[in-house]
Amino acid sequence: MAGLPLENYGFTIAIYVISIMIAVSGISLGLGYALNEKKFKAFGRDELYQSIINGALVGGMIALFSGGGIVSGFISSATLVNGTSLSCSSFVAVNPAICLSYDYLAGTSGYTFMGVTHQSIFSMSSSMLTSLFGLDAVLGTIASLKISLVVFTFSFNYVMAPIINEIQYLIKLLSTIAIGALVQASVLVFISIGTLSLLLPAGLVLRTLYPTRKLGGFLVALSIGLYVVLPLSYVFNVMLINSYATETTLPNITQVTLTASGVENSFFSLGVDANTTKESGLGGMISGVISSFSNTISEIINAVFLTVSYFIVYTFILPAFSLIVTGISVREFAELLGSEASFGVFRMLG
Amino acid sequence: MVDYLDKINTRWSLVKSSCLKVPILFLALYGFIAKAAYASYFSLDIISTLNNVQQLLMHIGPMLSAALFVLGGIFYATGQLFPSYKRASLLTMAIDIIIGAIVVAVLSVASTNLAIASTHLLSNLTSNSL
Repeated sequence: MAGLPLENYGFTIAIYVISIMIAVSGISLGLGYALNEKKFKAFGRDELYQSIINGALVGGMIALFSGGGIVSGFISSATLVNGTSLSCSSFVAVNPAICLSYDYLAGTSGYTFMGVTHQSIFSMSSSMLTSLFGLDAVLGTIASLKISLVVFTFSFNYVMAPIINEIQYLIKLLSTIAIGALVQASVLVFISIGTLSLLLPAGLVLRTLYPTRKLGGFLVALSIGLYVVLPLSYVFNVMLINSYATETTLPNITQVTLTASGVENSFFSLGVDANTTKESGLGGMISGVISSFSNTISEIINAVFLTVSYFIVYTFILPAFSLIVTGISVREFAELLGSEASFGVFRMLG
Repeated sequence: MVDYLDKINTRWSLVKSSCLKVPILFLALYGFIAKAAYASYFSLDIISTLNNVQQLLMHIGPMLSAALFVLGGIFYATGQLFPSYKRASLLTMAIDIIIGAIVVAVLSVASTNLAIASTHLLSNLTSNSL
């Protein structure tokens, strides 16, 4: 059964367990008839029905999830629309929706979706982080300057401290966003590797056995939810942001990067001049730094705030909706398979 | 006379409830233990373990079925020796035991084929053999 979802020995194990349960149900049913015992009869009959249903489920899952199966075809048609180009590692390339979600979250070389080229959230946030680290270093250096003249002492710290605090807060937020994107990408990698090769076969086998039937049904439902619903909800997120992402996010990042570089250059040019400037020229240097800074800081802050707020939506709010949709789907599938799944307060959402 | 028949019925119910069920269940249990103890049926390799358990059940099933057939035959033959009102009851029991024997034999012998066939109910993509 190589190449099928229940790869390796999953299919063989499932068939063995189903045939064992059919034999057990046969013995129970036969003894029930022989002894005229209603409990034996009912147990044997139920187990026989469940075993046949499990066999059909195994065949159905293979039909759904195999290479040319219905689910695979649906995922491919929903994901690989015209003008889409993905670059995934082999371990996430099995499912195009997971591949697109991985590229969207933490891909290294960018991806093209419906003709629009994007960078991943991790790439964008890390490039913005790099700019902000540079800006923070420059502003920290300026803040540490203390100019003592005969009549007064001037320290840039009073001017810079609140702005540096804000930038450091933004750096923390961006770090959280980058880590959040990487964590979600790692979860998707686990889903791609483990769902069809581990969770689904284990669920089918456990569903066959009488004592673990509910657990097996839950694992099968979880596999369907994680492998199909969650990646497709990420694809839906990518579709949502596809139209305006490049119009807002990328120009902001470019603006922050350029402006941060501009501040660094202007400061260092002023700093070189300051070594050769007489005391009478220091006032001009101070005013030059402050005016240069005040002109650019508002642009940087606006751009960074806007981008970070978009990143928070991309990384936390939209995936939260995806998780809720997945949870509800898992619960519905679990009920369909004779099991139950409860997610605390979220049970009210269904 | 009525009291005498009641006593017979009560005793027959006791026979049905204990003296019949206990030997049959004991026979089934003995078969399981004997077959499992004879060979190294369990190992850490899950597939060979499952295969051994399945083979065990495929041996137990026909054994139990044969025993039930014999038992059914005994009941049937014994029933012929009793008067008609008792014979009917014994014949019914014999038929029940024989039906049970047939069900055990069919389901335990054909379990693998039934399992494989059941995977074809929704699709035809699965293998036809293990």
